Amino acid sequence: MLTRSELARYDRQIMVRGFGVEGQEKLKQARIFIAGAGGLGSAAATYLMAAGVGMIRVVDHDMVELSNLNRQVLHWDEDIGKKKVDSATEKLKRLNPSLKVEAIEEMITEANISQLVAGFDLIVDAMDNLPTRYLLNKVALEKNIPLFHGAVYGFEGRAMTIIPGETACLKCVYRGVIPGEKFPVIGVTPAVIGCIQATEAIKYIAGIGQLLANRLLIYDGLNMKFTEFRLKKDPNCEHCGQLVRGKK
Amino acid sequence: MKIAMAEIPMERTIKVHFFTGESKEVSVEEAKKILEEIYNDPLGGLVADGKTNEVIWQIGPDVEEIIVLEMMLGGG
Repeated sequence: MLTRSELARYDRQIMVRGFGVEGQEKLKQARIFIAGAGGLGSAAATYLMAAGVGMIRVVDHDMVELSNLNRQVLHWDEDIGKKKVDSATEKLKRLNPSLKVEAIEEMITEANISQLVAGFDLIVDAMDNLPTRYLLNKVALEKNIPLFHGAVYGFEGRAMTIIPGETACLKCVYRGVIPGEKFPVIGVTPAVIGCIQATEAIKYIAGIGQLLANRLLIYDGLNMKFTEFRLKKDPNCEHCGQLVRGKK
Repeated sequence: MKIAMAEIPMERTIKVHFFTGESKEVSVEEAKKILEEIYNDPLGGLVADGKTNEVIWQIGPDVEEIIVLEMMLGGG
């Protein structure tokens, strides 16, 4: 049940046809796991928090550095040297104090991932490396939790939504492993993609619209083009090949 | 009077577009090799049918052009 203050705060989105009070109540009940408090995570977490998602858990093990500040808008100049999760949760709590934000300063590993995502309704993949993205993909499939993937490079970004048992997963699309490297990125690119991930998450929770399911959306900021590629589940996929569709 | 024209079989070619903007026209065999290289590359990548924008794992008989997408991982 929404309070009078919540009805006022979210008035403009409650007005959206198909979303309404019911959609807002669903957001209030939702628990979202955000892997990464960098460029993608900053944008996604900010808009999910502003939208009224009841509980957000942010996991990251990095410290804020000067070179992060062109894109990681939850971290400011005064935060350099602080833990990213602390810097992020401080801003998110100030943005929407009535909601719950949890910060976990840990590296996501095969040993802890299952416990970290337990009890969450969906996972936002805001990571910067492929091995951890694969871990998120695997745990999402195992636990039947939708995964909202985003990636960026320069002016280009990609997004796709993975519904376990129904759609192609990350491993159907990518097979290799790129070694960790410093990559170029214009600050606005993760903001565009992070907002697309947040939009997908909101739609999923509210049960409205058409998701980026079996669709890889590619944003080319340099030429200002969006291109969509249709995906299919790879029957031989080592992560989801054997997965039978199951409801939570 | 009808003049019989000898039919010269045309070799099927595939247009290859790289998402970076570069394009070239290659034989089917060469296109298959490009696809194989992309999927065997440890860095990964994707190949899509240029007409349907559907991700493909082999060059079927209807494929006329392909788009090669490189792997992407950035996010932080």
